[in-house]
Amino acid sequence: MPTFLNSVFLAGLVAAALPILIHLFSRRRAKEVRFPSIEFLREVSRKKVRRLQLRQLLLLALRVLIVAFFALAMARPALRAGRGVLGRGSSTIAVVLDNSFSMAAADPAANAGAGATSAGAPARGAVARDASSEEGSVYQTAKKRAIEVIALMHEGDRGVLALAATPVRLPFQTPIADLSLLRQEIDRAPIEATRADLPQAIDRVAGVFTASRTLNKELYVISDFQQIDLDAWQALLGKRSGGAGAVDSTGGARQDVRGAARGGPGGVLGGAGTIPPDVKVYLIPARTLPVDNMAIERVRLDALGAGSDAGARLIVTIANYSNNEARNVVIRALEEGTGTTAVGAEALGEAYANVPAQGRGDATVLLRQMPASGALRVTFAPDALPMDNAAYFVAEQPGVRRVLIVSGASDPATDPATRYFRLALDPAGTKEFFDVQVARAEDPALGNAPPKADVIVLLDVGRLPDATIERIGKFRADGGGVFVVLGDRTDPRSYNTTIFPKLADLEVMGLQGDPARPDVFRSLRIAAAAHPIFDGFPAAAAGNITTARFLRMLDVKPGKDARVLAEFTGALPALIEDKGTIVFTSSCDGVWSDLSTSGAFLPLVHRVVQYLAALGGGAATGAGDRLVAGTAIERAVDPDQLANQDAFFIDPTGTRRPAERSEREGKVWLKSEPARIAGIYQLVRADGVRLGLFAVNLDTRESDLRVAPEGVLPGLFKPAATVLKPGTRGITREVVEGRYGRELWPMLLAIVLGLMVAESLIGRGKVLP
Amino acid sequence: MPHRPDQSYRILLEPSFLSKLQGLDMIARMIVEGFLTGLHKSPYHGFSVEFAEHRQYMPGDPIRHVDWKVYAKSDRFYIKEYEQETNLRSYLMLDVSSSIPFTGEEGRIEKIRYGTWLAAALAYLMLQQQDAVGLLLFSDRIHKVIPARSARSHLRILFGAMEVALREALEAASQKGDQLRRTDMGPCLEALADRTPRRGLMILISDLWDSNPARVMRALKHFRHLEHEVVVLHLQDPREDRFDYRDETIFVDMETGEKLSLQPWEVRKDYKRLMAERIAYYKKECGENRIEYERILTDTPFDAALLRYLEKRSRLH
Repeated sequence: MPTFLNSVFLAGLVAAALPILIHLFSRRRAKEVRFPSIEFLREVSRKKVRRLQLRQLLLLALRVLIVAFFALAMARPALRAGRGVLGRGSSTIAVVLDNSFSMAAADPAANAGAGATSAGAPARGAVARDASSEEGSVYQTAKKRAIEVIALMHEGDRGVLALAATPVRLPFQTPIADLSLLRQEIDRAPIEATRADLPQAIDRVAGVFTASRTLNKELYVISDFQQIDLDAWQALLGKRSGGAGAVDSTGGARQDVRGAARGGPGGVLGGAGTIPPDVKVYLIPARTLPVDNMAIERVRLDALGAGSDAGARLIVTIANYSNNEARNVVIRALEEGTGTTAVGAEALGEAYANVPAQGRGDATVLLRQMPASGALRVTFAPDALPMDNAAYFVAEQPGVRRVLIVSGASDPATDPATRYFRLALDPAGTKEFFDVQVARAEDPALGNAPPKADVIVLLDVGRLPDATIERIGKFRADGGGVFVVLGDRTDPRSYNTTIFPKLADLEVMGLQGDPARPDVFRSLRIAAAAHPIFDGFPAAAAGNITTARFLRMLDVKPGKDARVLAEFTGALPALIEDKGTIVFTSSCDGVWSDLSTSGAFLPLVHRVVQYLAALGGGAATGAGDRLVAGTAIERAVDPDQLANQDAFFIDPTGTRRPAERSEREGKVWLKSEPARIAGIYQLVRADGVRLGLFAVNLDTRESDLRVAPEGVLPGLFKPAATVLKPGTRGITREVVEGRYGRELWPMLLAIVLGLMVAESLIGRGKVLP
Repeated sequence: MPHRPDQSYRILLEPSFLSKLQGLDMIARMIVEGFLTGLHKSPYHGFSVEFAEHRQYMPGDPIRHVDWKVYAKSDRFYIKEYEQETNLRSYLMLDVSSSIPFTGEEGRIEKIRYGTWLAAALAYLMLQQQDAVGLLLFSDRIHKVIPARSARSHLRILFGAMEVALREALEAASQKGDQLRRTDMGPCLEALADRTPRRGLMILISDLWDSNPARVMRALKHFRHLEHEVVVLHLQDPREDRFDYRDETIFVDMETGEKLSLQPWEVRKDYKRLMAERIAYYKKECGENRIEYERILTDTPFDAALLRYLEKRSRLH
């Protein structure tokens, strides 16, 4: 049964009735002519009448067939290919291969004989894999599938490959016919340390199909199709449809997703492009069985212990994506080489962790000593996906942080809040951790030059000159941290109209409490227990941070993206973080509360300031590492640090990488290419002086190896995609039978030509001499 | 520049010109004068009609028969020949069947009209030659017989009968009514042959749409058997000859009323073959029996027919 590629032209079959109508009409219009004698005519027609009638019928039939076959040819019929079909049409094939690091997981199907289980505790040991080898991995399976797809290509076909790990890469920008080249690229495509962006990869190949004129167009997506991929996909579709799709991963989501897809002719995916509707989409799951996995999600240094006799402590957070509790997970911290120092074989610290199923657990690793290289690798025993069992950490001694206190007092030297702050940050005045400078809020010099600080504290400031507000806003936008402590001098209107718009999405609503009534007070509780500021605080998540009593505070309304870190009793926001700014809504002058004289004041101030300082500097100190593979490393250095020399990055393999240089606001910004692998990167001056050390880790969202429900993904495409499960019908048969064979229109046009010649020859008697 | 002989007289022989004239006598006279003028001016050497009226004076001839006009011109004595001296009887046998009013093109004269004018011109010429002229009007029966006479006044009788026949034929054709006349000339001609024992000149003017050509030839042979000279003037409209109809047509037989729907281009070739065979048959049969056969298309001038008459007449003397 042929398929019609331009079925609208089938309506032209109606025109096949025209010759019949013309024939009938012309017969009706025959006129009478009086002739002397029809003796001869009768004699001739008697002999020929039957032949004449047959001839007329034959001519009529030929004309009807000419019109009908022409209409059929215009409708472009094509026969599906399969066994025994005549010929085949050419094809354009695009293969999107997921080479994100989740594909490095052990393939349970491939390792079935090695004792892997699809459920239960991660089969460590038996399926412990060499992270550097693809053998037995889901990626190896995926590559095999990709090769199988390529093997279905024939002469005249064209193929293109897209590697879906970010940044998406197309080895060939246009489809090629050389199968060996395609195979070669598939063979050597490495697993990347980044996440997959399947919608982006599909968008990149959409243009190939739009430009193609082949009969068959096929898109193959080979991936482990994680649930997180589906979540991101659906979130993107929901965003494109204006949030109309309240999507979830159940079957009901298909309707919402399809609704989002109504906007375009083909399947609507992420990004700007769409796949044309004549493209057949095949989804090939490289892994169908679930795989248990754990990953190191975060490593941070407890800065309170740094430099003390107690030693540095690492707080390691482990995520358990399996359905079984992991007990006594051994975590080790080893020194990581930076090219100049060797990797240490002996652990600098160890700990044990218990991690609940589908949960997270922290382990505290006490370092016996800081690594000489400044870099650490924290790891636990390999499991099905070894790549995320290691995390890198830069453990440099935290440098002296420059803190500028902008005091709202006319005489900061005598202002109680200012004094309390200075004492908390630099009690001995030795600038051991913080170099504290104080300025008056009204000082016009603040608006003249960029502040030389890592953190600015706005301490009970009422108003600020416009130029100062601009400077501080710029400072924050450039990565500096701002700590705003409100107080008695706070002018709500000034904050709402000029200060907060530059710093944070917050609004001062009013005042709460009365210092004259000490019997009515609020307590301070943690609201975001996981926030690094509260690391080591003895209070439980719902408990009070301090025994201090708070009599008065400002009622500040957080914006949409602001985060309440701590709150007063009654859920009144106390500590709010937004865009590199942290706001404390009560004062530290000892009047509104006795916080400044409580035991929690010093560590709280230290943590907040160090946290903000770490945001601005980019170095992984205290606040934990934030660089993930696939992103670029960027660092600002003072021009005098460069000493007029070039600088470059060195990746974990010891390879030099260029540094893109730009200058902004008196600093030199050095930016690397996107980091392709996890590990320790260095920023080095041409003469070898190290300017910075960076830890790049995996984005552990990719470590969640749950597979998306099979029934949802096909509905993301319009028309719906086909899921090809290897091992059942096999890819070959499904694909080949789905292809169109030869188009029939040339044959039909040849028939039309033949019919026209026959009609002309048979009807030649119609031409008068 | 070489002198071209004046051809203006030829218009008198053109059917298209003559169709503008009224009256059979006028038409007949025009045809004859045009013909005779052409005879005199043409290099054709044969005979002069005038000579047929005189012979040279022989001693003993009556003086009253001397043609003094000729004497005045030629200074010679000639004796006029009179009717009884020529003794030539001619019959004009005119087909008035229903097929004869056919014309294949608007503006072209009908076969019946052409045939009637031709007959009228022949009658005029014959009587001018002092031959006796008779008339037979027939279709599938004899409509009228006018015995041969040589008086000039006989011409009026002949013309009258021809005009009536012409009018009736045209009326019958226009009415398309029940008065259909088939062609069955064999019995009609044989009946005339029985009535004309003396040798004479029989001129048949017909479209020969007789379904029994053999019987026609038998009748004509019968005339030959009686030592008549026979001329067959086969009238045809050019459309009958070419059969160049382009559209699907319902042909209506003018003699029987029978209808036949055809695509003419399908049968043209066979029709023309059959027509050619019929003509060839008549030519052959006439040739073998020393019957003059002339096929005349109705868009051609009249002189060919008149020449045939004169040729035949000269053989009879």
